[in-house]
Amino acid sequence: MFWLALWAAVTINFGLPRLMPGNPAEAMFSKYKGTMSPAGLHALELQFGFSNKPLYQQYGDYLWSLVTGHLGLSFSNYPTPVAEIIRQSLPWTIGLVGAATILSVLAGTAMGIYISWKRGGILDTILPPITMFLQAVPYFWVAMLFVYFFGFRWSWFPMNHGYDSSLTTGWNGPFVASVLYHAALPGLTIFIGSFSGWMIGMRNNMINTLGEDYIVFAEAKGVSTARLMFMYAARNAILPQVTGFAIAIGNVVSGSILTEIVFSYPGIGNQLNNAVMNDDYPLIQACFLIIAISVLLANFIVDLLYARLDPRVRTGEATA
Amino acid sequence: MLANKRLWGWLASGVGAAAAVTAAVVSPVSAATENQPVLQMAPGVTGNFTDNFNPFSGSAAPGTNGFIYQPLFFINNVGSGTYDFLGKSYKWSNGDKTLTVNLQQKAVWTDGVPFTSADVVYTFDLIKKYPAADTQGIWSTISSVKAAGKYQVVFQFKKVDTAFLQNIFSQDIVPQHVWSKLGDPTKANITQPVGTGPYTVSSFSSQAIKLTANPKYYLGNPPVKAIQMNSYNSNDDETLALAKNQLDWAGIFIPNIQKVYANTPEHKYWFPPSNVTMLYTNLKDPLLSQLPVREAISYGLDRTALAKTAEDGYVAAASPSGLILPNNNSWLDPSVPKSFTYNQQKAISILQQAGFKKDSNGIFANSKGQELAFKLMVVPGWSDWDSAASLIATQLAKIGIKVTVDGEQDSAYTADLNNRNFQMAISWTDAGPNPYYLFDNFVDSKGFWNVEGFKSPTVDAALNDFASTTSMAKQKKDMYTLEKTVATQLPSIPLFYAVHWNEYSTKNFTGWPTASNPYTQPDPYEWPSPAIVVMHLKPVQ
Repeated sequence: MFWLALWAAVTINFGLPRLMPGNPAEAMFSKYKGTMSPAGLHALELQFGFSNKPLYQQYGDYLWSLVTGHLGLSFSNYPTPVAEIIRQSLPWTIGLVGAATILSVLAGTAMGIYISWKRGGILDTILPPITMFLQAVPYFWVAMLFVYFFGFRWSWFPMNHGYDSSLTTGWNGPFVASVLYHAALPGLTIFIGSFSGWMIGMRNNMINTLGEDYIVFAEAKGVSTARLMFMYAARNAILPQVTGFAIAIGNVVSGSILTEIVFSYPGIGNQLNNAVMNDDYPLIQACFLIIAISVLLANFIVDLLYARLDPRVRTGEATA
Repeated sequence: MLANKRLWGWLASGVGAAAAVTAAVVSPVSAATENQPVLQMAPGVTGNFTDNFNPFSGSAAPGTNGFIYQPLFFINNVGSGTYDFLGKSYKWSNGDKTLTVNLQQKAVWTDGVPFTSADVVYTFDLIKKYPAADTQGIWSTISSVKAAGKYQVVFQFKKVDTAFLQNIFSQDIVPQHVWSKLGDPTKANITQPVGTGPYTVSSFSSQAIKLTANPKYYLGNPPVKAIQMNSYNSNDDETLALAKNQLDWAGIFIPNIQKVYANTPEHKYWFPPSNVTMLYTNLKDPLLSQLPVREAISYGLDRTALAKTAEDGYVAAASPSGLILPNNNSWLDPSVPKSFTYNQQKAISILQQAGFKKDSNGIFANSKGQELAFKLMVVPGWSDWDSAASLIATQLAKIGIKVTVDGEQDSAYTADLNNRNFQMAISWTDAGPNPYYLFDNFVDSKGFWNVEGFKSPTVDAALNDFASTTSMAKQKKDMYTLEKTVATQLPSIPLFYAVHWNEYSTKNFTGWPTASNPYTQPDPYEWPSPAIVVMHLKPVQ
């Protein structure tokens, strides 16, 4: 299944950019809006070396280059290898979106457990509507509001970029601090955008589970509150959250493109956006490939994890 | 309860950490070099920078042309005069078929090797050997480049084409002793460039390029000691950075600039026109090929309103002559009308006289029932032209012409324009140091951006004559012919000017180009002009 899905992703990946009208040289030419000469357009087409080979042959070359690990040269950053661009931008995205997603899952789930336990309490009345409102607002719009108020008006946080450009990049204190400082605002928008889903999901699962007979029985038997809350209720209620987490982790690479654009963040979402704007086939293909692989891998890992968490899956497998 | 405690504990520590970080990083303004502020600029809305300072690459890092590598001369598009880079003087001979250029004698490559005519000859031979590097199409027009001594180069032309000067002048020169080892120049990835320019690269990251002054620069020690070029992904974040004084120099469209940016005495802007934004009418179309239809469209357009809506009033309505005014004032034929007339009644009567009648839809149609209904091609996302397009549709509907706005992705838009596969389109014109370049591209029957498909022997003859002489009187006569043709034949319909976007702050540096001192085009993105601007700046003490 894994390989079939990968093949399908890779093939769609090949086809989609080629369905887009025009070519990369024309896209670049149009960006110059009259300041590039005709000879410049011709030279660009020569530089990019468009192949007029039949499509099946290009497809064969493409599959072969993937197998051998050659992603080609980017057109919009010619002649930088695509692999190099991915290598530079992927850690930024994984760091920012990955950390924000994990924090959001942990905090949301914990809060969900808590408010379901104290259902009808103040937090249970206030939090769901507020966070749902924040989630319903488009996340890039929240990002823009944050930039305007926290960055521009009050100068609490930097407005954009991944770090302070005046520092030397590397593992030194000020630089790492600057990276964290710059990640705070975009991280917060991602956090806010997904927190409510995790919290309400967990709360609803918990309320279902708390109604089960075995919970009532355990409570009557005098099981301690913490043990009842976590080992009896939460452990059973958390399974759908894990599935959701798998999907969220798979979306880390692709899910926050607009946040990255709003904050001019040096991640892969920005690169993908630029690649699409410039008809940069090799870079688009590589970005999609990374996204497809990360979704598939996350699903794969969660399948393994599921068996660990849910005994029914294990026994089901054994009997089948 | 347990979870609650954990959560609040985590939140508290998170807030604490953020506060600590805030305290550690409080200086958004960069450290000064020799007590002088770093010039912070944004060379357009670039997106992440590419670590490649290769002047033959279409995606080279900004500054490659000008700050690092340099051409022979730069011809000012907004004022007059020629700025000397590696060339010092030039002259025509042999019936204007031979161009002799004298070179700077004090220029030195940043690795210490002196610059000579051998480098110039090598560069031109290199782009002959690798046509993909010939971004100016130079070898279509010249037949040979030879050195005449250490500081003189002689270009032989295949035929007389004095206007081609511009292409030769703008070719960046590379050092022979470095590039002879690199093979195909377009495939080279240059991260440590060796140039002749006023700056060297001191550090690169995808969001900022830092440059240090080259004290041995042959035009003098640069007054600005350090420059940082910053990348932005959208107009919005660049606008905020400008308003917060994080940038000294940028070049973007800012709506309502008086309130958003120019609200302090230090924040200034100057947007001189750069080319003519044109409503192209495909002359292959049986209806648009009729002059009365184009005349009616022209009379039916309120260009002032268009310029106001599309460009927030920063630009003026275009001139019927096709010239870029006031840049080209000296070429203007006084007999051509000064401005277009907006007159809906006149537009309607022109159509009626030409035999068009309004049909049941309220649209003018010819005797065969063909309606004056056209598709207008623009690129969604080029917001200024998008709003111009919808306003054009509204304005022309009032004179009984139906226009449907048709969005195309940018590369498809370029392809459709090149293949003349459209009815109407908003697009640019290719301008140059004098109006010849615009007309040569726009109305020459073989013109590159003659996307409307205009053909006129008079125009071709005038353009040929212009390029085959250096006599000012003859060139002016040819130019008047061109202006009259464009004004009366309306090959396409000029709308308003495109401009060089340029916002600057006099807080840290003064000496910027202005309308009263237009020593070069002022924007920070059309290279190599920014290299001229920085040499004119003075740090504020």
